[in-house]
Amino acid sequence: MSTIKLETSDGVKFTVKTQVAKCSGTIRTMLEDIGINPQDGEAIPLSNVHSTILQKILVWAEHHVDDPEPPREDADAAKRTDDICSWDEDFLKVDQRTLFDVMLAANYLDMKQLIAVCCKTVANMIKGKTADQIRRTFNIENDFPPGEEDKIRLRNQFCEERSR
Amino acid sequence: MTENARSRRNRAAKDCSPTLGNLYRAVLRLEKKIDSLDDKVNQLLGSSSTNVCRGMVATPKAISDDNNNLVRLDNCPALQVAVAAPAPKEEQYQLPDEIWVEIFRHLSDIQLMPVRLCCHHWMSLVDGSPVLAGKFMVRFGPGFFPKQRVKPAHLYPKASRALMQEIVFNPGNLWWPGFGRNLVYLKLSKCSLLPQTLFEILSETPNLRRLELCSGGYFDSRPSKVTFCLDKLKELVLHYQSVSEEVLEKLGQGCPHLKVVSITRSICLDEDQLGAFLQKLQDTLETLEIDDKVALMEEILKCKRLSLKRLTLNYENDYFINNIMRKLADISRSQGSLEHLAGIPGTAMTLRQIGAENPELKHLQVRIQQFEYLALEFLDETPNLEHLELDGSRLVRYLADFNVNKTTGGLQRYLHYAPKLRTFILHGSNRNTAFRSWGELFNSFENNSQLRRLELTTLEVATEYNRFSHEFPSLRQLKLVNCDIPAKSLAKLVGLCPALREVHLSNMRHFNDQVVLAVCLKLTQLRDLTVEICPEITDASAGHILKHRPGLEQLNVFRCLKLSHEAIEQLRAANSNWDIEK
Repeated sequence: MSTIKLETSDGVKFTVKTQVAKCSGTIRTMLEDIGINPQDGEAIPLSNVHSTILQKILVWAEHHVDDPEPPREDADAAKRTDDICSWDEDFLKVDQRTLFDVMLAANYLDMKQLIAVCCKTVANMIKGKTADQIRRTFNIENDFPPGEEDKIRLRNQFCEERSR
Repeated sequence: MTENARSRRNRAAKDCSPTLGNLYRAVLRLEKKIDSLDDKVNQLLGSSSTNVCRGMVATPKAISDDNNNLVRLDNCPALQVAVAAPAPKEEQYQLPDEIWVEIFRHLSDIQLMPVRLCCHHWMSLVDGSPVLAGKFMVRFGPGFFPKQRVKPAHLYPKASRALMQEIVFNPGNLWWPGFGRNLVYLKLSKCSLLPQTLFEILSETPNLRRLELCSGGYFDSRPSKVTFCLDKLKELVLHYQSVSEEVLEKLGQGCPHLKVVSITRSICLDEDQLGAFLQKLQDTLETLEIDDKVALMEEILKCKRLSLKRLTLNYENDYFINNIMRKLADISRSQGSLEHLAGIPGTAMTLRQIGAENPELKHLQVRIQQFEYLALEFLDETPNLEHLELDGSRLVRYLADFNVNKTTGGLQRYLHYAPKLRTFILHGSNRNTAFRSWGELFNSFENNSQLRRLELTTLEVATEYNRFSHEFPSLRQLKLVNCDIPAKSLAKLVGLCPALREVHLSNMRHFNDQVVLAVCLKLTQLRDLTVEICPEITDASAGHILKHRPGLEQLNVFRCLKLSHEAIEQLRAANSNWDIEK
């Protein structure tokens, strides 16, 4: 089984099965299109990824390496969030900082499946919450002047569709 | 301040976005000042105060009480700024905009509303994305008079979906300029307008993808010259809508790419006209919903190029049952690519035939006919079935075919053939004995490891043998209505479904406080609980919920007569999202 080396932003080198590394679109492109030769023993630098996060991502990639290609979704179709498999659910039971770091790294590494499952997880954190609760969850500052929020709320009344 | 902590901060400052980085650098500068003040304090108070001051935020007052000399420290500007600076422990973790938009795409319009109200930035993200903004619908109700010159105040600026209810439209004076061009979805319900005006409206909405016309009648003897072309329109719904021949003909001409058509409860439409309409659409049509009229089904059979994926037949009329079933069999033979079949009547024989003709069938909703056993033999013909919904409420005899195989039970034998089943819904009736025992019923799903949703309504069993052994590891939704499952068995069942998110119990005689406790303790992932018409539920249940599951996103409690007024008030006060009512 062929392996390649990856080097993270903090200088840690990982030796990874090529097949697992190819879960990342970025690495796949480097290997296949640009023609970086992994046999040289030179590590591929991943300057935006920290070793702790890469380690986590590799665990995920190892588990999902044999997954079939997901079916092409209709871009406008309503997206479900209740179909996260239980392994992923446990995998993503981490603090918000780690979750967001994983998403940033997955974005950089172009791992669509991992981003999708993270997005679902964050969407589930939003569901059922009021604006105030959402702000507290993500530590967002309310930058609406006091009166303005009410005005927007009023405007929103025009959009209310059906009750849940 | 230790060196370690400082180098960590320095690194953080480098990594962060410019604004946060500036903030960090400001905090670092302040910390240097505080360190030098620390030293002064140390000289005055001895070494013990070092720790106190590192707290940096709330401590100065406490020190100043001890020593008058330190009052000046309280007024020291550097310290005050430090106090005002946000504590870095609650950081805001950043994601790129496109990821936030991707996250928001998983939310419905109602869930997006509070997101939009969080901050300016998120509001601009929602309004700036056509997909997100397109989830909101603007509504115009009775009393609103659309005029060309008046644009309503407070209109959602990016409105692309509109519902117009009981609106009077006047020809030549539809609405303000530009409104129609933005629309991708339009529903006219109980509106009063002439066909001519309808055509005018449709000529101003070239981007429509879905059009619904409900509860209205558009007739006019004068032919209209207005033309329209909705070449982006994919979906057309006519419900309780009477349309003249002219309107239907124009819709057929003006909407060349329809994929989804639903024409239900339409009065004054004769089958020939509808047939001609379907003939025009047969090359693009994939989804069709119609009433249970034999003549209409014949029209479908005449469309030789039609290749449907989804067919819904609103079956109600038992009078023509035999003819309808015969036509249905013909349709299933001519449409070999059906994936979704709903609202149909069925017997063991016709279902078997349908299964054999349509191996791709994924979704089946069927009303089992009178005097039939629920023999699910057809399941071995439909290996791809994901959704099975059986309505046996009109049956007068047995639902379960347990005479066939007394040792394993009928249902299990057949469900074995549907390994991809995600949803199973069964409606029984009080007139039939459904299964030998609850144990038999729930153990039937042994081989359906992907089952997500289970709904059982009005089922009766013959014996009290209730031993459950089978686990439901993937079950997310459970709905039980009017099933006399004993309390102990219910509690056991709950324990076997650890992944449940949604539980709905209605009209359950034996559902009591102990079972509520089991639900609260065992279902750690529960988000949504509905309890209605359960006579054994008392205040103890309210206590269990408040103690163990205060974080439920939805709690609905209706008509549980033993709940006291105080308990109801307590539940109401606990969470404003909860719907509690006696």
